[in-house]
Amino acid sequence: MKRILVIEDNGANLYLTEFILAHAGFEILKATSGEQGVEVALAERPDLILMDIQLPGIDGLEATRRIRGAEGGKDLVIVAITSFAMTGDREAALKAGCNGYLEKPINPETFLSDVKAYL
Amino acid sequence: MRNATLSELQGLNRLSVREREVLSLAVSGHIDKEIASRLGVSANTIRTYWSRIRSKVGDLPRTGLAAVYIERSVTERIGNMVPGCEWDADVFIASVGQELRIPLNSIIGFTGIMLMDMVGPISEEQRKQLTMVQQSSKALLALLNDVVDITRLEAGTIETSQARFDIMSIAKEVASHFQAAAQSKGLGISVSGPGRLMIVSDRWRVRQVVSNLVNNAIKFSDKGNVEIDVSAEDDGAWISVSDTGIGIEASDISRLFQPFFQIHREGHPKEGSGLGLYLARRIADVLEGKILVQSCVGKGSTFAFWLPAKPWRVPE
Repeated sequence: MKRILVIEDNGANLYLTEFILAHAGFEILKATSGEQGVEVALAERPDLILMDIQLPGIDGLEATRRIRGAEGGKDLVIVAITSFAMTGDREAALKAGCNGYLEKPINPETFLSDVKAYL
Repeated sequence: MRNATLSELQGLNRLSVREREVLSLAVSGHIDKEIASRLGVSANTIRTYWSRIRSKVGDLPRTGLAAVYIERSVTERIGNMVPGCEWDADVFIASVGQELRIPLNSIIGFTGIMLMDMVGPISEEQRKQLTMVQQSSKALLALLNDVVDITRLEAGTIETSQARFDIMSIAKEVASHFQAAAQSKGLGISVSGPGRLMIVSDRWRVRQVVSNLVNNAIKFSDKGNVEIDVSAEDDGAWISVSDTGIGIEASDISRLFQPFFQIHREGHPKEGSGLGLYLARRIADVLEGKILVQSCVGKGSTFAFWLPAKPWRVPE
């Protein structure tokens, strides 16, 4: 059973993401801040990390950089969830070390297939 | 010196990014030779820009154009501040937009999964009502995105990227994205053009414009095909979206690109924000392109989007 780490501080959004992924049979790990996300990512080494970019404390980009900079952090798959408010958001996500990005608000109809593409 | 007229101020709004740069440099005291060198073009090109600026703002001497520019900048600065707020309106609206996406994620997300039968069986009436909630929230999201885009465009703070890409791949992406929507109305959607056509521009913005045109084509057609045709011409590329839909009255054509203008159809509820074409045209302006329309009531319409092939910024 594949494990997905969801790093998201908003309760309702976290619940939604968790619901959809659990329904599809994935095991879900959670973190509600960038710092906690980095810890869990490195300790648990999930098959996929969904990283919300807008987080309190350190943001998703900084959390991604820290994961990449840590030992064993280069092999983890990190997908940014971002609202693309500014041109350059996509590039910033990739530059920080994300493998890809998904748009927020998520499209419930395509979310699962979009996520599976990274597994 | 007299005050600028309304039409002169409005003409300023229609200046392309380059034309604004030329005018702004002139106002700061640069002569044509210096402007040409700054922008990496020839003095002849600058003269062309001036005639384009005059055709949009008015046939004024340089001092007159400068005065219109300054007057506009001053009123913009004053008008742009949200009362009681230290930010400019465009920054404020963009921030509000960002914040609104968070609750929208819940609304669109949860109604979506309920409608996908992931949370247990729902009755017909529940399905009907949830569908209405979903449509409303998607409309809200579209309006939000359009308003943020337009505010940035008007404030001149929209960023565009520049890279080489294949227009045919954009056309195919858009066609495939709208495949399901077209099919659900019994419409075909196809792409024609050369195997590849490379251009230097902002691929996301080009995609945004083409998507808007295709969305409209599908919306206003009840039969036939939507065709996306790509072709190269002289110093640019055309991306035309044609449909066999209801067509546009001649009297409506001139108002088509105005904000909040929507064609009203009997028996069809109002959809969308009414900002799509306005935004598409403003984006075309920023990309130094243009959008033309040709239509025949009862037969269909063609919206043609032209983009310049040459890079529109100083190459590195």
